[in-house]
Amino acid sequence: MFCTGGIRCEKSTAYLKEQGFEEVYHLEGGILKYLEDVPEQESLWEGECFVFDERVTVNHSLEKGEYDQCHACRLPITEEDKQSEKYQRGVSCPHCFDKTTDDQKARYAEREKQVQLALKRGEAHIGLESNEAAEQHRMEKIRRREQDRLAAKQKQHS
Amino acid sequence: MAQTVVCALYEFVTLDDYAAIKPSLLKFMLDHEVRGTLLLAQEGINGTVAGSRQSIDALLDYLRTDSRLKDLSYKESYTDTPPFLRSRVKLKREIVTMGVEGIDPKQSVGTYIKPKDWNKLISDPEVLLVDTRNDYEVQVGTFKNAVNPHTESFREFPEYVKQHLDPQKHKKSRHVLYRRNSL
Repeated sequence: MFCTGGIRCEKSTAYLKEQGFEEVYHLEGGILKYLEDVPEQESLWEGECFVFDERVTVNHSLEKGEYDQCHACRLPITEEDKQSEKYQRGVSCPHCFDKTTDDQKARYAEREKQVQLALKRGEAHIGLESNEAAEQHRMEKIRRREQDRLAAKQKQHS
Repeated sequence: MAQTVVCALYEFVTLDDYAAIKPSLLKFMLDHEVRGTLLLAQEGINGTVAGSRQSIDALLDYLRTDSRLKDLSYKESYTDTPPFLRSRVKLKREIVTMGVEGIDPKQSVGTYIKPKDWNKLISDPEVLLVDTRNDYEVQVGTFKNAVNPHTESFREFPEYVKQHLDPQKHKKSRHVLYRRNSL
């Protein structure tokens, strides 16, 4: 048995042992360690290895691979997938188009819009920076509202 | 710009006080600008984090000061663009969710095969090679001749085993054990 970094195999082989399988083997350190240790010429690995971060996949040299990711369903997508009419950046791809409702697609579209707006403003949409940016927007709004309130009050009194 | 170190780590180790570890660990990550997610559970720690060489080293040193994690193993790779934006520590029931109670790799686990010995094992026609990952992971790459269980999540794996693998049938590969000694 094998998996990305070895952790799932610790559980899967433990489970098989418990189920009565006597001889169970697993790849120590997982695919990532294999790609690191075994020269590409000798490798029996085919394709790229999916990783759970923004790189999506890594190749045999452990560098960022060829795949992009659908930001709706998080599945890896190819350039070909992106040519599909079911692909809309951040909203749907050929993998998830038929699995999501119109409501969900609308929500994803709104999120994508916010991401693009944030990009235009030069802010990160998520993460610490965006928390700070969001906080600033909020404070700005509160200040404006307070000013409006004060202005209205003064008007009343005058 | 300096490269970002991506560090994947896990350890099955009993952490009865795992919830108490969270606040200081998260603070350490934030203070040292280590991004990514670490999962804590009673059965151990798991996660992938990214940061500068210095910050990742600092985090590993910090984790290893807990004697239970002194042998913590990890794998690193490098990237030009930071792959995570947030720092998170999550408390979980399992550090990798299979959903079966009482499975403890510290008690009983399969035989570990080093990467350099792996090709020989999986080239043996008597060996059934199972990819334990999800279908979408298998789709982008796998080992030659590996079986794809077509699971959508790791929770489905035990059911796959029940349906498709038989301890009686897969027992006969005893000779692999003997030959293993010469691997």
